[in-house]
Amino acid sequence: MLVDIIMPKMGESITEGTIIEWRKNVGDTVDKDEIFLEIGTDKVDSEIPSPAAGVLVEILAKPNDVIDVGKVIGRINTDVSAKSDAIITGVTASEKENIQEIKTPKVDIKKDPIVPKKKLDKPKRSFFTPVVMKIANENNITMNELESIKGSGRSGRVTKKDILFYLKSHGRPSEELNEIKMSDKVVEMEYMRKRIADRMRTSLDTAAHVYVMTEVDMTDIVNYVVENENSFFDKESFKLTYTPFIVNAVVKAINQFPLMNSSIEGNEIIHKKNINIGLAVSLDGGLMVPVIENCEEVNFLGLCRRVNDLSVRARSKKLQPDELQGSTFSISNFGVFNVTMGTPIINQPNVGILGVGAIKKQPVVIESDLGDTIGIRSQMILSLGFDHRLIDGAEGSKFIEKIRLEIENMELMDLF
Amino acid sequence: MINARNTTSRSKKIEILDLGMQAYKKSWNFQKSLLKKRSNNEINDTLIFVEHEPVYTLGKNANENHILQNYPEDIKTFHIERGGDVTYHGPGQLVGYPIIDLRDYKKSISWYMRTLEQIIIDTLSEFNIQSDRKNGLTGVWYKNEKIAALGVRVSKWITMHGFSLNINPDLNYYKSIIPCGIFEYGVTSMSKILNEDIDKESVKSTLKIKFLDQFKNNHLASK
Repeated sequence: MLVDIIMPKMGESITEGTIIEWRKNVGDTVDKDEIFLEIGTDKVDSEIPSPAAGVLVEILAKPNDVIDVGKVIGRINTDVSAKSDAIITGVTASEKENIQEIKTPKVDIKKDPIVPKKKLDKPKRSFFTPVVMKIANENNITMNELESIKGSGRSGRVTKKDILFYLKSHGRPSEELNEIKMSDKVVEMEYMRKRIADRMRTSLDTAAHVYVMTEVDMTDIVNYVVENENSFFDKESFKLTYTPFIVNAVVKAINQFPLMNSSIEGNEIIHKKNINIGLAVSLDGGLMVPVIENCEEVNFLGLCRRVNDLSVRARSKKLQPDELQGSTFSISNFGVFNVTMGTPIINQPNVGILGVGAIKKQPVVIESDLGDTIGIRSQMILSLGFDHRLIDGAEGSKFIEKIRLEIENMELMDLF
Repeated sequence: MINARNTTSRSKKIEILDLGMQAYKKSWNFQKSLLKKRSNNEINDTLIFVEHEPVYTLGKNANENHILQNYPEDIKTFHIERGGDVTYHGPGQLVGYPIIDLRDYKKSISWYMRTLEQIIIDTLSEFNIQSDRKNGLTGVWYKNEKIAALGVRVSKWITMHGFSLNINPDLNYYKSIIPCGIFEYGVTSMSKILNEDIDKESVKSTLKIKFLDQFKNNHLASK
């Protein structure tokens, strides 16, 4: 008889568990109550005893799979606990099973007519040779499917030839025949990747994302950086970049629109006292968002130093955990990859994120008293993602316009 | 009531063992031996109190990257069989390892974890610290900082490993790890919150009372 191994319910409100390890392989015998499986839930790893004695004939969930409670994760064949007894005596397991199953309904029918009926629906041929089990396993053939294969062996047993023929005729060539399938590589996500995946999904599920974009004239700042980059590098030993200029403008804009520096918790709005800007920094295999705390208190040179320090340390993975906490507004500068414009996802629990595009020289209409002319200017597109649950279009638009004005009218002579 | 298990019913007595300062490896082996004895029904439910030398321990699903590169090289790391990610143990931290047969209480690890949390929350409130749970993040929290960590192994419903409560450990050791794989929240301790020295023994005796309260009241024999 086949006994289903069910994902156990480890407690109320626990709806799923992660397979950590099978201590037994398909084909191994297990004793009843022998520990043969380990699953993880919450912060608890649990060793699970076998529900029956027999041979583990099927494993339906791999390590790291997250499985709902109650789902079948494997099967134990209790008829072959004495290994090949069935073959030697000449009585096939399927015959034994049929006899048993005809008997059971008579007894059980009054108690619970549904259970035996189900059982009768699928008569089982429960013995398969290890070779067949192995091929079935490698090709994800379920027990039900396996039972449906017509066997050409003794007493209708499924042979290796039968199963390979079945695989071929059902468009699922066995692995030895299928180069492409073998070349697909399955790789467990790195921890950081899983975290990013979770956080991005959660943010999209949480915030009502809306975007507004604006074009900013960066010409004055570009000229300023070109003129001052050498002397800056001599003094500070790192490059003057555009990021501190943008952070500077954002902080000033937040001062005028403090709602952008808040978060939503339930039905409450939390107005943050300090302005802590999270800066998305790309790394090998992921990204981190280190935080520049208390930006409202820092002068421009201080901002330059902190932006540089955080991005250097993020890339060398030397950030302290507390430096990744507590952002109140975030900036993502994909312009460094020469992208014109983008729509970044809000970094929860923020309500806004500024996307910064590449600075590109563009022909621009310049109005003057002498009439309109076309000039060449260094233009950049900013995109503001905001949470419409809290920030309306008018507020978001005014905010990004304020950032534009701050950037275009920055008092460059007074920066340092 | 007839117990379906073929073991004789045991008393609801819970032994408390205070090992004091004890090497991690040694008390780990000790736990394993108690777990075995407990499953053979040779001993009663037991709560071990212990304090460790500085160590980092990693659960089965832990990510080694959560020990950051700047970690002190003299500190030992152990890969152990509890659930959860990386954590730190060291002087000033009260570690509790309950070896408990959950079949005598409730066959539910969520009940068990929430009960451990409740015991710590109740203990802290005796010291005027209002701690809480954080949704989805097992452990006990004070505001946005973790004050007690949990990590447990269950074998046929018998528990090992347990909890660690920060009384006044050197929190700098946490800077070299991402505790429990949680990036966003920090770690705190009782003396940091209260800004004063805490008497370790009074924490132990309070926790002991709360522990016995919870478990005795939930023992099947008392229902």
